[in-house]
Amino acid sequence: MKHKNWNIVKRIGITLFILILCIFPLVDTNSYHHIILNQTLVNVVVVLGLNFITGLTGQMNLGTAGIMAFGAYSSALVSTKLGFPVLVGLLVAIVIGYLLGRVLGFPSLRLKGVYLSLTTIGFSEITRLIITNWTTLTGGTMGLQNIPSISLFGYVLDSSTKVYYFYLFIVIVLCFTASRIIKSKWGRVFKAIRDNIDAVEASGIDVAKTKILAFTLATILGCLGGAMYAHMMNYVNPTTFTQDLSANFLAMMMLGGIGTVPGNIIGSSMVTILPELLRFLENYYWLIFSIIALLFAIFLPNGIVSLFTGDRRLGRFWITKTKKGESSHE
Amino acid sequence: MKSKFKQISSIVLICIILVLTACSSNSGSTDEIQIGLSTAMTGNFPLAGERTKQGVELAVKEINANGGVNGKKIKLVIEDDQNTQTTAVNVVTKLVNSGVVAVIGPHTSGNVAAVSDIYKNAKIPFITGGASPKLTALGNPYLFRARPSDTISGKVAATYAVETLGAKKVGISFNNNDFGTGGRDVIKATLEQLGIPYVEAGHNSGDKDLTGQLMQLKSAGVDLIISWTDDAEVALTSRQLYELNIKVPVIASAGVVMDQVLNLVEPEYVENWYSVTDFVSSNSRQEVVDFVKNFNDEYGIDPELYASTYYSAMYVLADAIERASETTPEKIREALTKTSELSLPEGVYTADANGDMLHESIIVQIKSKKSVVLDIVRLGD
Repeated sequence: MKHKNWNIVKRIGITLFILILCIFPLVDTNSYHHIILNQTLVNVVVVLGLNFITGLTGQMNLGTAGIMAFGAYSSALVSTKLGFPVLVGLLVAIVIGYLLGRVLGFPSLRLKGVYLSLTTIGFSEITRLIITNWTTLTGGTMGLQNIPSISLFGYVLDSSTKVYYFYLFIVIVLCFTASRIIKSKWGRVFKAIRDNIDAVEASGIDVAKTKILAFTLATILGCLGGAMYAHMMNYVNPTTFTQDLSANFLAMMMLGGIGTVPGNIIGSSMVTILPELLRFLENYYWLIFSIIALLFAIFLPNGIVSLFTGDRRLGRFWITKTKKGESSHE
Repeated sequence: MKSKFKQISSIVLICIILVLTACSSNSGSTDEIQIGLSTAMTGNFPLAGERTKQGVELAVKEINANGGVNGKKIKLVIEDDQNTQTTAVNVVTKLVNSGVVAVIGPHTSGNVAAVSDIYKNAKIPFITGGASPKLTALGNPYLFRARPSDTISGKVAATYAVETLGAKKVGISFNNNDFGTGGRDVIKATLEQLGIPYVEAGHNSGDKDLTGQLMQLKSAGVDLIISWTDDAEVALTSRQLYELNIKVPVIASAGVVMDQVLNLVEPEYVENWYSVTDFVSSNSRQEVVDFVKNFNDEYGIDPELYASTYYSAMYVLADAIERASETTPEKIREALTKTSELSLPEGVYTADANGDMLHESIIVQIKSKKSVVLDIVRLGD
């Protein structure tokens, strides 16, 4: 009975949340706020992808910036240089993401831990350097200018509010899809690979195929996020896609809560919005933001989402003092 | 039980943050003129951002101490753009929504390209120190530049090499990035115009050995080298030229006269080098002497390029606001386009049709790590 009630509460909560997000731009017309929200939405898409490979499958991917750059530049180039509609650009970005996942997935079959991290960092840096130096195609450090805004069958999304509604729609669809995937057989195998890869193999599951699948989901969403970023900013520049960006996405995933969609949403929102909220602290805002992030990382190792779910392990440092196992549960 | 306590305390912490941020709105009064400043206080460029902020704050302090502009005090709204595209876009959107009449920054050319349309749509003028010649192609009437475009310094370097130093064959050592190749193109064009042969050798940012490129220039028999590259690479160039005993005059891009480069090299590496730059604190112009003294009194250090650029930018803006018929962004933009013969530490400002306001470069020679001003070259349009 309790379970059923909880489900109803959850559904009402989600509906209310979406409703608030829909009404928000009508109440608050400040374009600065809309831009921040749009960035949050883009970040949610990328983090949802990263969650599959790093959060669920446990394969450390530090190449998110490179993946995003691929998506951003492919969509931007298709729509500027080739003159295709932006929606075609988004599709191309998704296809590129699929191919990238297939290619990038292979090293993950043989490499583990730090070595895989290094490979993904390498991929990301190579991508950035190629974009920086292939001036004739990508515009080099001056970037690609005048990237068209998304147009839906003739209706151009030229203001941040219009972009907001379209991206909100994409994010809602992706969030539902992602949470279905996490609960599906795929999601369970992903988690099993993270927890005990030998057991998975012993159960007769094709680990190689599953890892590549997780990588592909990550790169598809990463590339889509990159393309959304490009068409929102109308300008891309290789200096955006540095290692800092990859680390930022990792932070979003860790802070929000690894492995869950609500965690991804909370993490992306916090890392994107909180520094902007703290700007009134002037010189100290970044310091305070970092301290807050650090506190969350220490006291909520399972992410902010663990405050609302049963999987609380607050007080990481207190566990060792008392009996283990007892205090880790409630 | 303990975890319950932590849970509650975490929620309380979140609430405190939200309450704190809610009380953070500030609004300017009508007897103040709000000017925005977007600069990199954190990120990969914080020293430049710090100097930028100090320069602008000093200018504002002086202007307000002298009674402000048209009897109104200037109020600075400073935002950190972290020198990244995304944050610059956020910050600029925030500034143009917060009631500022004009903005200074962001600095780097890439970020200027990213935010250019935001200023254009909001119809708010801005002044930047981004030097890439490609910014002109943006065609933004609200864009003004407080530093000479690299087109000017490249041209000055090539002309000085040939006409003053009498070079017969010039070697160009350039960085393969936007800055280096932009400079190289201008230098090549100028040399071709002057009918002087040249040899070019490129390198990448982060290269640790340039002997190959430098030997290539040596074996081609060049009698002068123009080095157009970034801070770390120019330091490397100077050391290896010294080690390879290539004793030809060298003209380097602006970076070499800054302390952060001079600290990387021995005095003999760069002795007698020439550089084309826009600001050196040893300049004997009265504006520079006064500025260096005031800056030293305020912060206890010598100003450099960034401090001087943005100190001057603030004065350019104040001058335009004073001349504008009313304090609205559009009128200030019109006044900025009419800026003429305004003498400031960074140089003499005159706006042209592209929004470029500074058309001069200083040629200096390095003697025992000190820059000696040889000549100030103004390019007539």
